[in-house]
Amino acid sequence: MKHPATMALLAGGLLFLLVLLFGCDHGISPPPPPDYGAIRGSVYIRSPWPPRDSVRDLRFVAFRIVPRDTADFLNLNNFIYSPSLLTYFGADSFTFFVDSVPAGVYVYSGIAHRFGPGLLDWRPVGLYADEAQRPRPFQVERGEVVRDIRIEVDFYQRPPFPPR
Amino acid sequence: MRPLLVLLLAILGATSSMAQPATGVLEGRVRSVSGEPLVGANVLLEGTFLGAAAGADGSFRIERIPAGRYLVRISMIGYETYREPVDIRPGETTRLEVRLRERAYQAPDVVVTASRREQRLQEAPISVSLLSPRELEVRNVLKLDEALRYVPGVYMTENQINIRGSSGFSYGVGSRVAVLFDGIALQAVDRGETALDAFPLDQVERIEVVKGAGSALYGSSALGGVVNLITRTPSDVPTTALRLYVGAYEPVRYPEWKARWAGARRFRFFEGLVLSHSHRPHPDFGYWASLTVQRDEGFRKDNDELRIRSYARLSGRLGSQWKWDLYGSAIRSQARTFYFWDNARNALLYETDRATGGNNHNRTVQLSLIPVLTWLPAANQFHLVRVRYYFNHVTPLNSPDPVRRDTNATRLHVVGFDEQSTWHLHRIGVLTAGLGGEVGFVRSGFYRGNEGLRLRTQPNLSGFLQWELPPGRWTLKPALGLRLDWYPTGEVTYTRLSPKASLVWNAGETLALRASYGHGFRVPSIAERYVKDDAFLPLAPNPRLRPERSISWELGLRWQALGWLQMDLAGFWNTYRDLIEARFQTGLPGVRGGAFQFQNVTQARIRGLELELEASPRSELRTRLGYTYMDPVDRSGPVETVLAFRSRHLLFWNTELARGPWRLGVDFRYLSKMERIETDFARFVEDVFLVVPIRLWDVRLGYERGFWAVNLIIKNALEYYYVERPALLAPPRNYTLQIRLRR
Repeated sequence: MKHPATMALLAGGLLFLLVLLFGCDHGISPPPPPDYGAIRGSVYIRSPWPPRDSVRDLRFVAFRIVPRDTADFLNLNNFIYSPSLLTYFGADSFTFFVDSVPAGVYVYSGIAHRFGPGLLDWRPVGLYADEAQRPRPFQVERGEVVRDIRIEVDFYQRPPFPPR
Repeated sequence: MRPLLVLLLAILGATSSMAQPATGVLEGRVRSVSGEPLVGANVLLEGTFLGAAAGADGSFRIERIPAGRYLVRISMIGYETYREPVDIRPGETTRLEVRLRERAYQAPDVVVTASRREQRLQEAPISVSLLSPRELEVRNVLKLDEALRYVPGVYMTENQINIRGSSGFSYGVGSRVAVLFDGIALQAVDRGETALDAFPLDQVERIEVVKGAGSALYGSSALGGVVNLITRTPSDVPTTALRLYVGAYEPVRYPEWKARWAGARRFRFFEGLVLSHSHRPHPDFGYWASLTVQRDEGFRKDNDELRIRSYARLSGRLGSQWKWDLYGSAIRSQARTFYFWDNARNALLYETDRATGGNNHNRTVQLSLIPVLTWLPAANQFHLVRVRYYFNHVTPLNSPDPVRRDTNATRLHVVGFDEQSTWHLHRIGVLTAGLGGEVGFVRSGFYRGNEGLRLRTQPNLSGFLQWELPPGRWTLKPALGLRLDWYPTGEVTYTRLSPKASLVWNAGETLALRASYGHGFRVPSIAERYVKDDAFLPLAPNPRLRPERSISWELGLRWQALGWLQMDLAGFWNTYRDLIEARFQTGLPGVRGGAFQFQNVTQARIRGLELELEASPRSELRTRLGYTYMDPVDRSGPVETVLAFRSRHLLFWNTELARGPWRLGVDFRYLSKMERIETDFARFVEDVFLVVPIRLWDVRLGYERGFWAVNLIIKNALEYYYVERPALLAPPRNYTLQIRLRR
């Protein structure tokens, strides 16, 4: 090796350059917090309630995407949900309120009924829909409450799922 | 215990002394040119099992050598190999004082994995990378997955080994790389994985990484390559080594990651010790034993572990032709595993409310016992028989209910054997042939399939044959190999025929060109075929899964130049078929709502180039550079896309500088950003698309003097946050203080 000092200098220079190039970048960082709003809604029960033991849970659920199948219930990033509405079991109508809802557009929402013990044993029993019974999107704005959500529930004539 | 040992030694001594009435002794010392004793240098009389390893002062002694002329070989990684004839006379002691000259590159003269026999690295028909024990020690590496992060062309997707992009990420099930311990496969047949934290790396002589499909020699799992840990032979002089370390993860820099967990606001500690002893108390009997205790608080919430690992190897000779080894291990660990983050704003937490949330708490007990018998009836023959027993018991501790713990526990027993014979035949070449078999029994509530069975078995039988032109005589060395594997597994019988072919051209001492072709396959594990669960994540069985297959082509060149530079350049073209991935399926019979199921879905092609350079322009400076370019293509659909979970560029650079007792080391690793994340994975975990290129700097400073050394290691020195696989933050900057003693 004829020029070890030159080699060492070159290696040191390369190292310095690389550190300079990459030293200021810290990779992944937390994304900015989402803005939040809230949802208030009313539920009207249009059929008899099923037996109590077949209603394991009942919640208002609003999706950012149109779910393809029940696997989309596993991604909390895709949807928000209310506290359990089982306390209203037997009532003809009731209201719900969901706070800390990330701002954005929700394209598919309704009341979800948990009918079995399985993780994916959920199905919709009423949709927030237009007059043609198509899912109706709504938008949550930062710091505002969406108030006009009205859902009719029929435990025996359920909306199709996955939605057509 | 002591009378038993004395009796054993007496029997061994009597046996060997009866066989060899006229013997002599070879003793001596191995040192470097600068006079430092070379601890662990291998001394071997070629064509026999007579050998020794140098002790702490570099001395060795081989007794009961039948009188005659031998070729003595003294080798150590990083030094020129010494080969000289010696005459052993009856009743006399022959003394050797050897000084090995340091070599520019770390690679040893011989490797064993590429062709299942000892051969010069220059004659290996396929790319082989090596890791020396020193590289593991100075980085405080205690687990194989940590070690492999420093091999060019290899990267880890959490705990899955990727050789040139072979594996991707398959949810911790089914390794696409065969992992061997002194040539022995210790794979858990239930998950098709080898526990990468179960090996005694302090007793490793070197790690060989063979890149490319290797099922023609090693059977299932060698789809993308083979990793083989070669352990040391017992040292002649009693040698005790102790490594103590304590370290800490620095608190993360972002307030968001610390907001919901107080544990993230302080340094989080890890510590441990590695104690080993190696000795050959009798010329025909030696042993080493190793104990490792590790505790790690972890830097993520509920992600800690306590591990106690003990290993031992007993070795003996019965005359100069027979050799036996007995390996045994007992490992106990208790760990809380963190699967997925809650989301990128809570990267150190998992979502406790979510059914698919990412934490598990297990206790694992592993035992293994491996007797090996080797016979060297003549200088041109070698026969080996190995039997292995492996036990693994995993108890889930999440549930406080002992009945539920027992139901969900997994107990695995694996019994296997393999036989290998090698003949060096005049005019015909080197023939290597072998037979093997294994049966695994696993009892678990998770693998009940549709039939509800709790006990599953997976037997297999195999045979292989390899022919090579004899080394040394020809500059052009062709080789052919074929292996048959048979898995009668109930519903389906898997039969695989795996060929290989290679050609090596040694154009002089310093240049070798190679071309190789080989097949690989992986039989689906019991977990992939029979897992059924609905308490955690809905999982459905698929008993008719097909084996994954691969074909590897490689053209390569190895060149040693200027006396201080070694280069390996390879072009590779690998195709993969029927790769198994977990997919969400609806409409499965008997499954309400849908479930995840393992399926043969992916067809892929990965081609690329790899350059590995190792240089030591001055004796105190060593540097190693590895660059791999890959073109990973998913060919499953009508349109080709980028293969998921793969990087396109891999770069590894290491430099070591020694100045008197001081040592300075720097490692840099770069992996380009994964260009595609598998979409079903993204359906149930948040922020999975948040991936970045990996750029990591590790720095260490050491002081070595006599029998002790101190080392300060800073990993991820520039505090870079990244994921090796989506939704799992990798370790932040961490510091380790290590003290090593060897006597």
